[in-house]
Amino acid sequence: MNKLITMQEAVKKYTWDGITFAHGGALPVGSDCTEFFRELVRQEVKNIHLVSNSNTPGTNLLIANGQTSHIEMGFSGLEVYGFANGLRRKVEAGEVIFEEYSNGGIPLKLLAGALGIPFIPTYTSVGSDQQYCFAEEPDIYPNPNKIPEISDPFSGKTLGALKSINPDLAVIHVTMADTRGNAIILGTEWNRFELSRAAKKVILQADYIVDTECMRQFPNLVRIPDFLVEAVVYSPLGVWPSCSTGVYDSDEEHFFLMNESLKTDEGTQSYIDEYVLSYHSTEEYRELIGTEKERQLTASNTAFLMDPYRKYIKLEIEIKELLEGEESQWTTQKTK
Amino acid sequence: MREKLTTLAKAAEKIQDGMLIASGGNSLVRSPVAFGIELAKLKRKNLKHCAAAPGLLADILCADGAIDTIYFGFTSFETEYGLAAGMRKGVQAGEIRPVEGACAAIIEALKAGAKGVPFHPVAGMWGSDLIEANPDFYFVAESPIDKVKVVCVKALVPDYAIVHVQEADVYGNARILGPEFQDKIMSRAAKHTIITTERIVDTQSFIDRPKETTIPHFLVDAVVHVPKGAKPGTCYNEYEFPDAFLMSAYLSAVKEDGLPEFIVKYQKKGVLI
Amino acid sequence: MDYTKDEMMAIACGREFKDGELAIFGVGLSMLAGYFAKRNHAPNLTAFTEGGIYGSTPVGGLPWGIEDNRISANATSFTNAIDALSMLVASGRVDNAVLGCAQVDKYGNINTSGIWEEGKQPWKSGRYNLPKKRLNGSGGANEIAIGAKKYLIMAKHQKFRFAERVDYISSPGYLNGGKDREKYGYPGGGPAAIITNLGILRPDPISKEFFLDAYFKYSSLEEVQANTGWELKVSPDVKIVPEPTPVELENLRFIDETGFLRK
Repeated sequence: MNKLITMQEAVKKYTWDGITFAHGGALPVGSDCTEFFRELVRQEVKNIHLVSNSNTPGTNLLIANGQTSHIEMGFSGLEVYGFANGLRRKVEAGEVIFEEYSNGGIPLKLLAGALGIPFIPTYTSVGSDQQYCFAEEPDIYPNPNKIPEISDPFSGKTLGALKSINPDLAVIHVTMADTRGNAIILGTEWNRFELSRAAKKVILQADYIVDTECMRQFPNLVRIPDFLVEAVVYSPLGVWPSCSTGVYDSDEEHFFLMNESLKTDEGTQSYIDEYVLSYHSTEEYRELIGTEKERQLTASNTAFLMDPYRKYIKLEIEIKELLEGEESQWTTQKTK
Repeated sequence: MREKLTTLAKAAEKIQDGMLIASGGNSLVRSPVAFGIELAKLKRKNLKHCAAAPGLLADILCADGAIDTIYFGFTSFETEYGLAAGMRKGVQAGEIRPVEGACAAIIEALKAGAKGVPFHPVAGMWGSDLIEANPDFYFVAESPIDKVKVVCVKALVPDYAIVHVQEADVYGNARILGPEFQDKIMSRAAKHTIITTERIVDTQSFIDRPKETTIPHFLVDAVVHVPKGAKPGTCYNEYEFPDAFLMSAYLSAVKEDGLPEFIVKYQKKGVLI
Repeated sequence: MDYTKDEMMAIACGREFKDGELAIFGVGLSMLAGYFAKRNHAPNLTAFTEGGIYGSTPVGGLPWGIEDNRISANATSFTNAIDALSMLVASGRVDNAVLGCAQVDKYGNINTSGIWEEGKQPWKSGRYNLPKKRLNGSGGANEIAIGAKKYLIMAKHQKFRFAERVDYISSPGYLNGGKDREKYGYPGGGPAAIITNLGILRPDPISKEFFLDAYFKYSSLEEVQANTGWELKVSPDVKIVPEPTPVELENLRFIDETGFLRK
């Protein structure tokens, strides 16, 4: 069973204009499927309804390039790197419908989606403008429809009902995946467990491809099992310029450069020309980052976390064969 | 971090009459039996117990008359050991009130307790008589989003969670090997958590393998070193088959009202902690 | 003065932490104050992040984000958002936290979401207008505001920041004051103090309006009042906050490796 496909194929086959798209981890500085976002930009997928736990370099870029129509998001900055310039100007200009939630609210909505319940009760966002300001219905303030009230008959307390969400597609960054789609995540999981169960389809973006034997040795760590997963994309340094716990640190220089470029439409286009349209394969993407930079970033003080799993990592040449070989799911599909 | 090593007797004393307790594991798997036996000696009354599939600890306390209410999805020792003898006896005699749900209902109730919200919707449960049978635990809400009706459960907030693990350090960091069941959620829902552990390990092992930590030290009140603490049940990686002889003797003892003698006999023999 | 105003603020904030507390920190100043407290007088303080990194301390400098590798190098547990934010924070279990803000009002409500043109604020105009400046949103601060047993707000004391009423409530303090917050039944207790680079404000037990409890040696009542956007009440027993001791400064500077607070 071989679910490996290329990044280009993943976007082409699994996305469409108007899709409700969620991604994980979706941390401003941390796990996210940045390379998938670059590919969404290259393939010009439009009118995306974006569901994000937080803004990331990837969402900042996508939004800056005008590809999102509707956004449901928690934290919308880049933490110590500052405000997200792309997101910020699009929201201020009214070019996107932007619904603000808290960082705990989005995982709860996904949990409700995963459990198959219509809402999830919470005190989060209740009583604040996160509840009263509804970008979909801006004329009504305070708005009772974004997070409606619900009462508990036992205690008489009133809580908010957060609406559940089931995204069409979730692309989830994981540290390692096998060819069947089992995944192990180092660092915090953030919302990836709930996300993988809530989404209608799941694609993994993996730093490493490992042998299934790894999963057998550490079954407690396989938080996303294969039966939830459609496809797996091998994406070394795919979270860049953000960090992947246990694998590589954030590229501080590029973080600032990228965010600075997204301040204007011209800067955004320049950035896209140089850092999206300039490569056409995983190998070229890696060359774009450069071996010296790769060496610096991978000398991480969290590298010890990968030690128990290193012996299961598949070589580049094996992965290439798996992608091109007859067993590949994608190739089989193509010849039908 | 504060050291929390203590004895089984001191840890068991924390459980008072009338408390709601949750014990970890599932049926015969990794139930904190040694703790249960120690608690039975204290002759507590009116305890309430909750778990998706209560284990041997709960059954012993049911057989001993300590429990008056049990929240469960499933109680059985499965395969050749049959139904949970102690619990069954108490419920049939009208001494124990059973609050039954699908396992999911109990789990959602614990999750609600963990999150500090008073109730939680549960998918399913439709067509079941259980909802009407327990109006203080279930209610049907109309979703304010789309008017769909959904069954909801009241939150469960145990006074204590008792979990048997394979590895813990002296501060209370605990690691479960193999299936966790709902032990993690129990430790978040309960006001206090007591750990019994097969082994005490160095804190460095938690820093080296942080993803495997099931329960962090700041949720734990007490740690007791109890090798074989789940016997005659099983414990992944440590002893993986139930002790058939002891199980048989236990089931007979419950049937014949001979539980105290059973406990004394087998503790004297050095079997059963 | 051999310390900066920011250092005074961080130390004053750190002094509010007690040993043995379970606390959640965000990035930047919040983390500096908290880890200073741990080093200085609260060795059993346990810190965690909203992403579910428990028990770690920063390695190699302050992290750029809550999942930056600098905060992941010596944790005892990694979990997830729901475990941390829903089950430890919003549930009422966490003891203490520090929140920053773009704006704070006299009832301790915080705005980190947006600044509107005067008259266009949602509460004033009755409409959710577009903000003039989109900020970052609450992140996990909303959970902290509703769930923490208590929390501290840390902010530079400037008139535009200390508003009569915030443009947008991202994280609720005492809402409209008095018993208003109690109506909502939140598990947590609300903000215990606002610590600024000029002094410390605390909430009145009945009205919940923040008043000046103490100010720093280098400041004055006049300076504090001039920099507050509402008529700031002053405690009849208003105190002067003790200056940083040499030990406190040493401990703070050890944590603040890059000299962030001395810029």
